[in-house]
Amino acid sequence: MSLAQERSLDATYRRRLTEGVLAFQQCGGGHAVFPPRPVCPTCGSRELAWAESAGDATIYSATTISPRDQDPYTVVILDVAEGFRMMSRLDGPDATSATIGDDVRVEVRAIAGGGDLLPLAALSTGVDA
Amino acid sequence: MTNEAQLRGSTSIVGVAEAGLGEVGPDVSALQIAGEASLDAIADAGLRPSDIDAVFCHSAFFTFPATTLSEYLGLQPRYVDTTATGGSSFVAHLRHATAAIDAGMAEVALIAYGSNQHSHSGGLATSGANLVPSYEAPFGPRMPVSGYALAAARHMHEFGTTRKDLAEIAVAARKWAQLHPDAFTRDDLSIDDVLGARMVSTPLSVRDCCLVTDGAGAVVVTTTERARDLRQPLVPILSVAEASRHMNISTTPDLTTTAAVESGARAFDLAGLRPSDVDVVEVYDAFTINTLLFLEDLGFCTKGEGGSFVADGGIAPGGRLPVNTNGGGLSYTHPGMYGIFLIVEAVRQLRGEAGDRQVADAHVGLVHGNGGVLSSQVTALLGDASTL
Repeated sequence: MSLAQERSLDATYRRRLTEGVLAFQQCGGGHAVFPPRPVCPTCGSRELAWAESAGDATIYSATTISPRDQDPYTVVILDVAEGFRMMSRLDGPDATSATIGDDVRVEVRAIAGGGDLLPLAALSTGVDA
Repeated sequence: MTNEAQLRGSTSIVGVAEAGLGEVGPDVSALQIAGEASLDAIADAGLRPSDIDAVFCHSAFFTFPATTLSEYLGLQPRYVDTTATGGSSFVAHLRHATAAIDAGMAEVALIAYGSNQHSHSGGLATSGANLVPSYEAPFGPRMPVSGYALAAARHMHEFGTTRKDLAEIAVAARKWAQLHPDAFTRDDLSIDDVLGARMVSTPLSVRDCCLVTDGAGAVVVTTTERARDLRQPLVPILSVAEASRHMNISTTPDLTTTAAVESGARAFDLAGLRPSDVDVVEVYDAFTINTLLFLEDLGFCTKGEGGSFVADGGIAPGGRLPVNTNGGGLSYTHPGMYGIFLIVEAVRQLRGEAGDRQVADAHVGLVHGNGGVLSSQVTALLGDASTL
């Protein structure tokens, strides 16, 4: 890793994705912090350490988009078990079968068709179960 | 130092105008129509441009908005404010102008907005390039609609709200628009039309979404003392309150309760009023779910009861509460940021000059601006002379 990557919170997050890890921050008070930033928005602590999510999450809300020129997909807001909320996406066979309250697994992979590695969601009872 | 409650009614809105609503054509700039609305609002107040000593403006179409507009109109303000909280900016400007006037930093404030997004591209323009990495965009949400769709889906999950409830809001807006000669869309719209419309981001269809139009608006604010000598009926600013909890929708603590709970409660407290005192309501309806959330959060009905509140024409002409009496962003006009038009319509209602859509005995008007993705919430209470 370069020094520049360590200095950049965003680059550190992206580097961990390339290693297959969904990284988030934790403060000394036990608050999960996401997206990365230099302060805990809950308690104001600047003593933040990186942690790794195990990938268990629940769908807090979901909206399905059906573009004319590609397969439908569902954008979700997840409540990740470690205590933070983030946007993600279900595509492929799970694209339109998820509902609010469903348990999902977060998997670091690229969206079908390529692109950067992202923390995408898959139904826990889906193809990877 | 002034207690904010002491500012109640200390300033008034003395001039309003709109320009370039609908479609102005490809060669008319956003700055031009913002300038035209500004000049018309100043004239509406019976003032001259040289009377303006404070300029408030936000735009996604020209940089340094307040400074650019000042140069364009030949204004030399001693107070300049480009507060940018999205569509709520212009309601926030009412508060900032009141504070500046109270502090003696300015006496006559111009608040203006203009956009030619319909003629320019037909799409939404964003407020400047974002050079900060996004933790949302890579997942492909269609912003802003998907953000509001996530709120709507969660509201349905928690409270049993239905797409038909949301359709009631679109239909009510259209019925008000049919009473306004300048409304962009005035053709008949039914519940079934909304339910059958093309889905954009579930559960919101294209008829749950605001228009994409051109348009500009401007208002002029000065001391109530000076306003008494000007030509229009008095419209005092009774209170304004701001609140925000998030910028990005994925970081919101609660998708079904917005920071309007806080801005609304503070605005009512500062004005010494309750929701039952409000005669006419103008809330920022970028999407149908907005109206539902804001009616709940501002205290017109309890959380989760928005669906029954709007049912059976509840907020349409002749319903239990007049809401978005010009047709709103859904049917009247929506040039990117709608906040200024909320103020213009409330003032017209409180002056009694709203024609076929005039609400009888309108003494207190509520204006609620929304910015971002349910991010910035700003509530203002306006009155007529009887409220002072």
